[in-house]
Amino acid sequence: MADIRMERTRNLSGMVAFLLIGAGLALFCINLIMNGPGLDFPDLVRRASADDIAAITVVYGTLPRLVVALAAGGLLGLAATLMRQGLQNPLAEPGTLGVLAAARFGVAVALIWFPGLSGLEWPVLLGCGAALALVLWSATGRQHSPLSIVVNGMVLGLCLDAATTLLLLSHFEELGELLIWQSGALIQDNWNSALILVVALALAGLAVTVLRRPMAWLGLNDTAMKGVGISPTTLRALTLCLATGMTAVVTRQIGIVGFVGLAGAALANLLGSRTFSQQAFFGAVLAASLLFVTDQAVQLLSPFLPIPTGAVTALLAAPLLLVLLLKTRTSGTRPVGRQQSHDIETRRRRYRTWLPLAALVAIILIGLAVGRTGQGIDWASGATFYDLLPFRWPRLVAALAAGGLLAFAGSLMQRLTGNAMASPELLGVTSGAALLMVPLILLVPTLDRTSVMLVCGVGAFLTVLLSLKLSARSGFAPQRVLIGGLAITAFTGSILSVVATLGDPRLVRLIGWLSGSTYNVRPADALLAGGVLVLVLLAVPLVARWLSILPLGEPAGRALGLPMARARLVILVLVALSTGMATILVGPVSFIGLIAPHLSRLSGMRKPAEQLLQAVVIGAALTGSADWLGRILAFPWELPAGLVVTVLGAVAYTLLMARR
Amino acid sequence: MRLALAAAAIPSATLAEGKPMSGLVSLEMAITEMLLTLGVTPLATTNIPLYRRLVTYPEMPASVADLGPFGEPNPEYLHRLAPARILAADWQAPGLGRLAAIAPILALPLYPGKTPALEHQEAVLRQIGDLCLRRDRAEEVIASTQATLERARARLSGINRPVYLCRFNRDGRNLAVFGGNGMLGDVLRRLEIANAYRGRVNALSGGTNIPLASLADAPEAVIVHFDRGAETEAALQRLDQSRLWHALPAVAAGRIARIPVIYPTGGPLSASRLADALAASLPEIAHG
Repeated sequence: MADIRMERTRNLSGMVAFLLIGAGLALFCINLIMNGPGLDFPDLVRRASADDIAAITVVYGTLPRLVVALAAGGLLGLAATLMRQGLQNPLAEPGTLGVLAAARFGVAVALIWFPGLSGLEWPVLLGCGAALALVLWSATGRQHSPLSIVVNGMVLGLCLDAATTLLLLSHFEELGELLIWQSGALIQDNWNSALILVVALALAGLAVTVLRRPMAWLGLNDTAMKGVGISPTTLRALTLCLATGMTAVVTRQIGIVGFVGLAGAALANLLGSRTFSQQAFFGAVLAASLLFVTDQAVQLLSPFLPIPTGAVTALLAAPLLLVLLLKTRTSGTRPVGRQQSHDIETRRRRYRTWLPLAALVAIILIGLAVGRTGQGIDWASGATFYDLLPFRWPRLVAALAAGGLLAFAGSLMQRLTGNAMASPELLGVTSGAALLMVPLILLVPTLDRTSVMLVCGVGAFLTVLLSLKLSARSGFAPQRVLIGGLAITAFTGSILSVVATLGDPRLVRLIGWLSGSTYNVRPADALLAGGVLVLVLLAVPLVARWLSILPLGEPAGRALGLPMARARLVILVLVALSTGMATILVGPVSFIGLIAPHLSRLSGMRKPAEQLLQAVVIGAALTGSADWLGRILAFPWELPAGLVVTVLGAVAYTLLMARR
Repeated sequence: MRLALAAAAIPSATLAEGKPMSGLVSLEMAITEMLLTLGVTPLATTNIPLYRRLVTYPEMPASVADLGPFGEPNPEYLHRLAPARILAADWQAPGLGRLAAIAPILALPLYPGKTPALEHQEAVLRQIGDLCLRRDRAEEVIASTQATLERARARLSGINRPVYLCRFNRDGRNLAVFGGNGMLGDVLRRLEIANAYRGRVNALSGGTNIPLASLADAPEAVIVHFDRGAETEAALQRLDQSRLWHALPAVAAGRIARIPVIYPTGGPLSASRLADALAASLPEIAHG
């Protein structure tokens, strides 16, 4: 396990927490003075009881909000420290384990299908618990490998977020409350939440104090623990349940506040907290002070930029995560690609190789011929078929091309890195491509979709470079690169949600594209995407030999006379071009680039070029069917193909993990 | 219910004109409202559930097909219905260029700009009346709207308190308030009632979002809020737990009225429904 190496011996956690809280208090005073009522608290309380509105806003709004920020931050920091200790993984926290996304999904389900339920406690708790159980279960087959737990958790989180977005699109009216709750706004108008959180923090602190010695043993190996007479499994489960319960309480009260716990725990460790007791205490204190400072800053900015606090914390913590990953060197050896990526194929060689192509042809026919009217499902034939063709072919071609391109990019990346989990989505390449669009669309207002597609390629290229750097820094430990990619994805997600609250129409249009809506695809966009797919496919014969050699690693490549630098660059450009083009059509989180190459191997393809082409066929078939389903399922509403394909892709991912 | 009947009675004039133009599709709720006010049933429109919730009257006939969302009306379905003409709001039109291949799109100017909103909506109603050969009916509706406004003005003439016209958000912390040159603000002006909210509003809806504490800016005001069913129930439940809410002078003195929802960018019929609702509810709470 990779731990952070420290040269310092002194514990600076206390000092940093002191500085952060001081800064927060200064901001708090500025906020109070700027809003008028001043700092004379006894007088404020007196005026509040005399129905003075300004005083009431402070005594029942600003003050409980301060307490809520501190208590919620403390609980999240403690929860993250417990998860970190329980899983022995510095990256475990409620957000990375998919627990927060599950809480949000649970609330959405409750609001739609159980409207009579009073309060959101049960949906939040059930969502959090189910997510934890699912993530732990998914990793049982792989000796609870800590990083695979986090990767599964983040994939689960992305999938549940896509599912919640789908629910939001189809049940917008019922989910109005979810929109307000999920944004993690700390605004208060009474002391209820503050009291609940303070009591919860006190109870949690007590529990951890009592259990601190056995919990500290979780850091030892299991045989050592058995020697002390405790079942490590029971203790680990207890620790994780406690952490999940704390997360659920906070989430119920203030909504989704991501990454604050992770940041607090990571800072405590970086600043020199060594023992478990120190880490728990300072993790909680630092997370509390981080949330406090952030929230006060948000309040100061709120007249100009009304952003909920929960959205901003992710903006702070995701870069922190990336910096941590870049700073932390680990000793790791490059995994041997063949072993990693080919272990499935040996078992299922005799799969029907023509099945994917048949599926693709079928979905093209269905996509062009079958629609839905007010009366029901309807086959178009003859004149009606040609009549409806102009409405159907551009979006179908765009969806097919996007799927094919992502599958192409995913196959290349898996070959290039020798990592079976590499894909444009999981390495954050699609998100990086989308991220570059935000400033660009503001600076160059007249961009149409076609030029946006090209610029997206540049963003994709930069992200691939970043992820290769990460990969080199971490000694090619594949899953650390994945965490980096997921951090970029989370960062982009919160940037987009902030952008959505700003409501600039140009950016809202971008978000529409990024949810993978093919509604406004024009024939020119479709032809461009299709053209690029044909172009990159023409390059396959040129790179086929490289593809079989690259997974063997650098020394082997050199020994076989491969021009390593040039081969890498050409492949990177191909990956960037196809990813950029596809992202703007189906959105950043589609899983096609991950799934299609695996399914291609499952179908029995062995040579690199064959595998690549088969993956393209499978990717196209998947997005093609998602586009058609999106057109049919919620008629006359249309579900964005990108969201449908995310759910399809995540289900395929889960099946894939279960098979391994 | 009494209000609803009074309002729905306005357009039931005799059929003196010829057959109205058929095969019209409306992509926006105010346009749909005006078509139905003129007795013209569109072939299809967008987001019918939302129309039923926010505009309500005239009632949407069951025969009208639903094309889905405002921003992405289902093109295939529209094509199959083979409309003669598509009516859209000017702000919608740029995103819908592709639909022009199905039928000619008429973009109606729904931004009032500097013209008083009601006057502007009356002009749009006349334009639609001309288009469907229902100009006479349009003039009748406009005349009866003005009569309704005049009746309401007379009934409310003794009231000196300003009025907040608002809708509470579910969270019980923010609210949408209406005024400026929006349709709702313009009706208040016609009724010679002072709007308690004097800030800037969004040009299209004539509303904006403000925090709850802003309702204390005019302590003598009356609060009139729109009833959006479950959403309003949830809001009132949360407001009841808020210390700030109970400290608002209007709340403490019970100067608060809940009236049926009125579409803030609606046409003349929405304007008369607001005038009727205010005339029915304000006199009880606004004196003294």
